[in-house]
Amino acid sequence: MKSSLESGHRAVLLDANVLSRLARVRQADVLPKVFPGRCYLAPAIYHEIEAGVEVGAEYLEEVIALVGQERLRVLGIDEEDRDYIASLPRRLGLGEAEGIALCRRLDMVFVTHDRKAANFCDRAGVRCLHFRTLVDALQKQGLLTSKQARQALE
Amino acid sequence: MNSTALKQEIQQMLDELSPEVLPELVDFLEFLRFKASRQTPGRRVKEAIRLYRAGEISLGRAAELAGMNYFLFEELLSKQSISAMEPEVTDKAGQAAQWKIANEVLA
Repeated sequence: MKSSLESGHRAVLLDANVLSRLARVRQADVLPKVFPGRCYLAPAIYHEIEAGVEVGAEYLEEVIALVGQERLRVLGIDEEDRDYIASLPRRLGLGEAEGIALCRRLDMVFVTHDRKAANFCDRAGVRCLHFRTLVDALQKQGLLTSKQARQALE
Repeated sequence: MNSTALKQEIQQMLDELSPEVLPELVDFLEFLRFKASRQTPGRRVKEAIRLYRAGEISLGRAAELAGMNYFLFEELLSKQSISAMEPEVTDKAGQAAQWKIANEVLA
C-alpha cells in the first residue's frame, strides 16, 4: 500500500471501538461510504472482531461482511511496525498499538474513541481523529440521525 | 532447563541490555507480574476496570488484562454504566485541530 500522501488521499485506520459503536447502531457501512477505498483495520483488531462474533457479539458480523466485500481492508504489519510496537508503552492493547504503528508508517489518520490511544498519538506525532468529532461531522452531513449519533456515543 | 540455569541465562541477557531499555523492561515485568498473580478472573476484571477508569491504560489493554475479548469487555463496561474514557479536547484550538482533520479525511 502506498502512503496516504503518495496516493493523494488521506486514509484512515479505525480503532475497534469506532467499529463496534457504529455496528451497534447498524451504521458501520457509513465508514466505507465516507472513506471510499481508504478505510483500513489493523490485523489484531480484525482478529478480535472475528473472535467477538464467535463469542456472541453478532452486531460485528456487519464489519466482517464489509471486509469480505473489500470495502474495509485489513492491513499487514511489517518488521518496522513490529519494532515500533515493541517500543511502545504497555499501556496500550495490541490492536491500538498496531493501528498507531501503521498510521505512523503510512501517514494515515487513526480514528478512535479511546483517550489513552489518542493521547499517545499526540505524543507520537500521529494524526488522530476523535470518534465524537467524526460522529458530529457525519450527523452534519446527514449520514447519521441525531438518535444514531447519540446511541453511538453512549 | 532447570530453574538455576534459566536464571543464569536471564541474568546474562539482562547484563547485555543497554540501560535505555530498562524502563520498558520494568513496565513489561509489571505486566508479567500482573498476569502471573493468583488473582481470580473476577479480580483481574475489577483491576482492569480500575486501571482503565483511572486513565492508566487503554480499553484494549484493559480487555487484555481482564483476559476478555475486547467487545465483551466493552459490553461489560456498558452494563455496569461505566462511561468510555474518550479523548478530551479542552480548548478551542484543540477543537479547531479536530475539525481540520475531519475536513481533510472527509473531503
